This record gives sequence, C-alpha cells and structure tokens, in this order.
Amino acid sequence: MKILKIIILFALLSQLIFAEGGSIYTRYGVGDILNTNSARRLGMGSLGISLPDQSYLNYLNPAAWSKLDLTRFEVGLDYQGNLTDDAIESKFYSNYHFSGFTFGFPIDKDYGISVAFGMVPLTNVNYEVAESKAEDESNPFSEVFNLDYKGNGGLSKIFIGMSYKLPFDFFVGASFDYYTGKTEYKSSIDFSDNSDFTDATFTKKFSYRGNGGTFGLISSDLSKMLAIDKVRNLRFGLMLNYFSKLDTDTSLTSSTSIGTINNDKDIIKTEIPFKLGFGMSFTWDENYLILIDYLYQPWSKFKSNGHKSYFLQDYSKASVGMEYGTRQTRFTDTFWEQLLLRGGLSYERTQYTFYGESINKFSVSLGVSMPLGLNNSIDIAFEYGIRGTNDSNLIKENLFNAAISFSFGELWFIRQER
Amino acid sequence: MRLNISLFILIILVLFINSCQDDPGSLGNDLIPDKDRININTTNSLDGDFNQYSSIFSDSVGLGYSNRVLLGLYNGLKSEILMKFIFIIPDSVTDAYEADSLQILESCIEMKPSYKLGSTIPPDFDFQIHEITSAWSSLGFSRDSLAGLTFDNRNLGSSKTLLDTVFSISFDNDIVYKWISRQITETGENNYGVLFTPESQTKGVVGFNAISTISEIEDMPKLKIIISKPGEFIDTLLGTPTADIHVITGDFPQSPENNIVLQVGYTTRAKFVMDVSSLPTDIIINEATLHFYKDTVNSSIGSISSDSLIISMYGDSAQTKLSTNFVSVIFTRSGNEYSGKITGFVQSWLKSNSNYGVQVRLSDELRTMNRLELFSSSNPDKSFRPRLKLIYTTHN
Repeated sequence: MKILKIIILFALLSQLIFAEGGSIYTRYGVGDILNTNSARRLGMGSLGISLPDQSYLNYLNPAAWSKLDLTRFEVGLDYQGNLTDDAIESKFYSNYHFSGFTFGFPIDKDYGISVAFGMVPLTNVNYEVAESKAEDESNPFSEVFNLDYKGNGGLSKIFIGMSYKLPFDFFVGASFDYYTGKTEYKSSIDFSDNSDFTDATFTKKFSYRGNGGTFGLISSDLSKMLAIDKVRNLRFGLMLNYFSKLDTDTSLTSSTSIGTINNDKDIIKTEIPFKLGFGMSFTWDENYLILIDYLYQPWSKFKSNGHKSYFLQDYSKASVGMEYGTRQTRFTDTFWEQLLLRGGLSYERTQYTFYGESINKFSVSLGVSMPLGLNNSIDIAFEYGIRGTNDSNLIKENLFNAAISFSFGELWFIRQER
Repeated sequence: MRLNISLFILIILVLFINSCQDDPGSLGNDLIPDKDRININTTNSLDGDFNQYSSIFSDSVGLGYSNRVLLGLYNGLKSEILMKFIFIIPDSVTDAYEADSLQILESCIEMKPSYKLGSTIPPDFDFQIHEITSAWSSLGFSRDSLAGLTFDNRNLGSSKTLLDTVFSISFDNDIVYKWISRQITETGENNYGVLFTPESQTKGVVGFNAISTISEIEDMPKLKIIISKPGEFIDTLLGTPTADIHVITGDFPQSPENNIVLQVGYTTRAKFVMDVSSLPTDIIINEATLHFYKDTVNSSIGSISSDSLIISMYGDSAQTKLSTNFVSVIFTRSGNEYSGKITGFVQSWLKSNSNYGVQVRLSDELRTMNRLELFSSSNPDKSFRPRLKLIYTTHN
C-alpha cells in the first residue's frame, strides 16, 4: 500500500507541477541523456557499471542483479534546476520528472538468477524560448506580438531481463528493452487578447516505438590478484545497450481560427546509437566503495529519417564515485550507523556541438542513504554541474539536480528449505 | 510515520522550489533551429495574381417585413405601394351611420417621406391611387404576385401637395364611406385597400414609414377624414395602415461596366469566388481581409446610404446553400471601400481544398431603393477588382 501511495504521489507531482523553460540544448537529438533513475547512482557520478548490488537495482547493467537477496522495488523523483545565461542575461528554470520504477526479485541466489523489470526515462526534452516583437515598421501586424518556441517529452525504456552467474564467479545479464516516448515541439505566435489577429501554433510531434537490448558482464572478485589488503571486491564490468531503428510517427498540428488541423505525416525511422560502458569497482578498507566508470555513445551517428544532425557529436562520460558506510548492516545498528554517504565527480563531453564548440559538462555530486525500516531506504542525492560556454554566443548552464528514491525490499518468491 | 513525514516534507519542498523560477525569455533564441522558426508573410490577390470570379443573381426577400414602403421610378425600376386602412370608429359615428346621417366632408391621405432618391419634386414626381379589387396579403407578396392583382383604373387621388416633409393627397370620399360602412356592418364590398403607382414621368423614389416600424403614429401614413352628423357634430376620423407593402418591378439590373450590382428591393446579390489554391495548404492565416470598391459614378444612393454588406460562405458547389459552419460577416464602408475579415473562411478553403466562394448582399435589402455598384472581378483595371489581403504564418 505504501509503495502504491508513493508511486501515485510521484507520478502526480511530476504531472501537476507546471514547469517552464529548461535547456535549449535539449532541442537537439532526443534531448538530454538520463543515465540513471536512482538517487544512489546520482550521488556517485550516475553510472556504476561494474557494481553487483544486493540492495539496489541498476538498469544500466543487468548483470548487477545477480546479487539481489530480496525482492526489491525502487521508485524516484528527480528535480532539475537550470540557471542558464548568455553574455547578456540569465534565467532560472526548474522542472521535475518521475524517474520511473524498477522491480526485481531473486530466483536462485546460488546461480545468481534474478529477474527485474521496470520503466525508466532515458532522455528529456524541456525548453521554452519566448520573444516579444515590437510594434515597428518591420512588423506587418502593427502591434506587439510574441513568438514562443517550446519543447517537451523524451524517450522511456520498459525493460525485463535477468541475470545469471557464470563459472568463475562471473555474472552476466541481459534485458529485452522496449523504447517508447513522444517529443513535441511547438512554435507559436501570440497576440494580445483584444487583438483582431489570430494566434497561430505549429506543433510537431514525434512518437517513438521500438525495441533493443542491454547486455552486461561483471567479473569475479579480482582483488586477490592485487594482493592489497585493503582492496576487496575488485570487479570490472562491461555493458552494451543496443537500439533498433525506432518507428516514429510524425505529425504536424496547426492551431488556427477554425480549430486544430492535424496533418499526419510519415512514419520515419529514428536511429539511436548504441551505448557502451566500462567500469571498475572495489571496496577500500571495508567501508569505502569506489567506482570508476566510462560511458560512450556515438551520437554523431544519430539519424532522423535518414538525416544526421550537424549539432550532435559523440558522447562520452567519465565518472568517479565513492560510498562510505557500513557494508553489512545488522538489526542492532542505530539509524546513524546505517547511514551511507556518497560523493562523485564526472566529466561529460555531451552530445551537443555548435559552431565548432563542444558542449561539455563537469559535475560534482553528494548523496546519502537513510534507513526506512528493515531492508528499506530513502536515498537522496544532489548534483551540481556546469555545462556549456558563453563563447560563440552559446549558453552556459549551472545545473542543480536533486533526486530522491525509495527502495523497498521484502522476502518474496524465495523457496524455504524444509 | 517516518515515511509520511518524509513525503509531506517532499511535497512542501517541491512546491516551494517550483515557485522559484523565471518566466521564459529570449535566452537561447539563437539556438532555435531554422526548421522551428515561424515565418510571417503578407500577400494580396493583386500582387499574387489570384484568380477570381463574380456574378449577380436575383433573390426574393419578404418585402412585407420592411419598415418602409417605397414609391417611384428610378433606374428602370418601378416601386408601387399597396396599403389598406383601418379606422378607429367611436360609437357616435356608428350611431350616426346607423341613423343614416353620417356625412364625409373631406378625406386626405398624409404621408411623411423618410427616404428620397433622385428627383422627388413635381413635375418629376407624381403618382396615382387606385382602389384594389382583389384580396392580397403582405406576407409572401412578390413582384410576380402583381400579375394577379386587380384594381380599379379610376384615380382616387387629387389635389396633391408634395412638400419636402409631408405629402398630402385629397382622397375620394365615396370610397372612404364604403370602407367605413364595411367596417361597421361587416357587409358589403370588401376593403382591399389602394395601390399607389408612379406616373411615367417620375424620376425619383420616396419612402414612407411602414407599419412594421416602431415609429410614432404621427410618422405613419394616415387617412384623415372629416365627418359630420348635421346639427350634432363635426369630427375627424383617423385611418391607419393595417397592411402595407411595396413591390419593385422592372428589368433585371445590368451594368454596362459588368459591375457587381446590388439593387435593394429587386434584391440582386452576388456570388464571388477568390481562388486561394496557389497558397500552401499548411499555413495559418492570421488575418484575411476582403475589399470591394464602389463605383461611385454608377451607384445610386438615396438619402439613406447603404453602408454595410453581408458576406456569407457558400456550403455547396452549386452555390445554392450557405454554409452552416460559419456565421456571416458584416463588411463596413470606409469611403468608397467595403471591407471585412474573412480569416475563418480562407482557412477553411485551405483546409478542405474546396472553395465555393461567398455570397455578397447589402445588409439592408428592404428599406431603400439604393443601387450599389461594386467593381467586379472582370474589371480591366486589376487594382479596382475585389482584393483579398492576407497575413499568414508558415513553418519551415
């Protein structure tokens, strides 16, 4: 019941809150890439490809589910604040989105067989630019009017997959992914309420659907090979996320004086490039978990209806993350003893490029995990990033991200030994 | 408990933080891709060389609803008035009639002009009054109905005084006595009223208030009767119209210049088509104004001008039915130009790819005999032709 309450609350909050503006960079491709739906991951740099986790579900690498010990459900809400500026002015925008849910349960712990499914957002489009045109000689309307350009939407992934433990303690996992979503771009001209002129709005809609898969591999514990006492659980991980060509319904809607006119256009193909990631994780001195990850996605190969975009380049992200806290909790531990603290750094060469300038992002993050009863937790994370540049009349953004996730674990589906 | 507190704090934080954001501005405008940009375009049928077509036709309207009746001859059209009077008869007059002692000393029709066209002064304006001898009704009466109307050829009017403000015509006392007798006894010859018909030398038209107007009785045509009962009283009896209508006959109005002729009373209207098929179909019309230009030389406008047109969209290719999806638009006059907005019409033509044109008519087709000539689509000077001006928005 409480899970349902949280899902409904988060979903409603993200729908009811009126968000205006956002990053104009999201106009290109299918928007900003969301690498994680988890506050835990956000607090550690957003990735964590090589970390098999018994208390969390990582959709980035299905092999990571192999250590699940309880049926687990996770849901979250994300916030993004964007202080954006060019050489002349600055604006602050904020928006929220429901970061999806994941559900997983172990089937056979000895063989590392776990199943997980969920729905998570993959990309986010959100921007609005408004311009007022003065009443002057070049204005054919002879009165003030506003031009407004607005975009919203994004891609989501619905997945189901499982993990398995290979010989030599390697873990492998795979998920079948279904991609769906909608992006909408509105261009409108607005007059005052008492104007004799008719407002006009053009809305381009793209509705995506297609499938793909995610494959992951996590190595066994290689710490013994290093012979460093304080290093434990040294693992390497690899993931590959493949996208088929997405069928995309396109339409152009015009809002006119006689109502809305729909012009369904063609069904085109949208080609999202594959995503490849490498990672390393280890624990240091029992209580410190260290993650080092690299993610690559060649967005220069993105195509919409067979056309590439001159404003997209290959994407890459390198991150370092750390988590501090007691790795094995006991019933007798106090609240403070069960706290986990997190921090991370990351550097992204985003997929955006304009006028020969690459749009890059540097971020620092912090997070905390608080117990919420037995096997349950609330995770909170904050990330501050700087993206872009004012060179070449571009936009520089100070990004304030926050995430809250709830992780619930219960003992389901486990056959009791008689 | 801890969960509920956490959720509550979360809601408050969300609402608070969400309120702290700026309205969208022009920041990032340079990064809007060209394919999203809105383009504003202007054009008109003259510069765009749109095809257009116009023609006129005759329609029928219920002239019985007019609040003015017209009499005269102008531009080859004749207007005649049919009028029937009823009397307010006090008991004393009834008693006198029954005692066979009622005398009609004098009868006079008084009519106050409320509209003039052309020359309305004698000898350029004259008319006769005849007794109608067949039944008629103002409802549904048309110029075709005149052929079935019978009347006495005798001119019942004499001694006319036609002043600027009032027409006074001496009327036949015997006819009046017959009508009063009919009204009192409800027997005898029926009172079918009279027919006013202009003399052939008439060169003008005069209009008088009709019974459908809300004017004071003082402004209505009336039949004033001086009656007496010898030795007892001399009194004035008043007859007011109980039915009236005017009917306009003549040849279908034509224009040697092939203008659009809108003739009030004869009720000519125009069909007009502006071909916008050369425009892209996925544009949004911000404003479409249609302009008609008056031929001031060939138009005949009386003392009450025709300052507005009604433009209605046709809903069928035969141009017989008006569209029920759009309300008619009023075009107003500014100088010699009639114009109005037909933004929805043009957008509909683009959307549906079927353009059946519009009907053009005067907003007042009953109360005058004005003749408005508009330059048509075939005028040799393209700048005089009806013109459609457009401001529209396109998307790359």
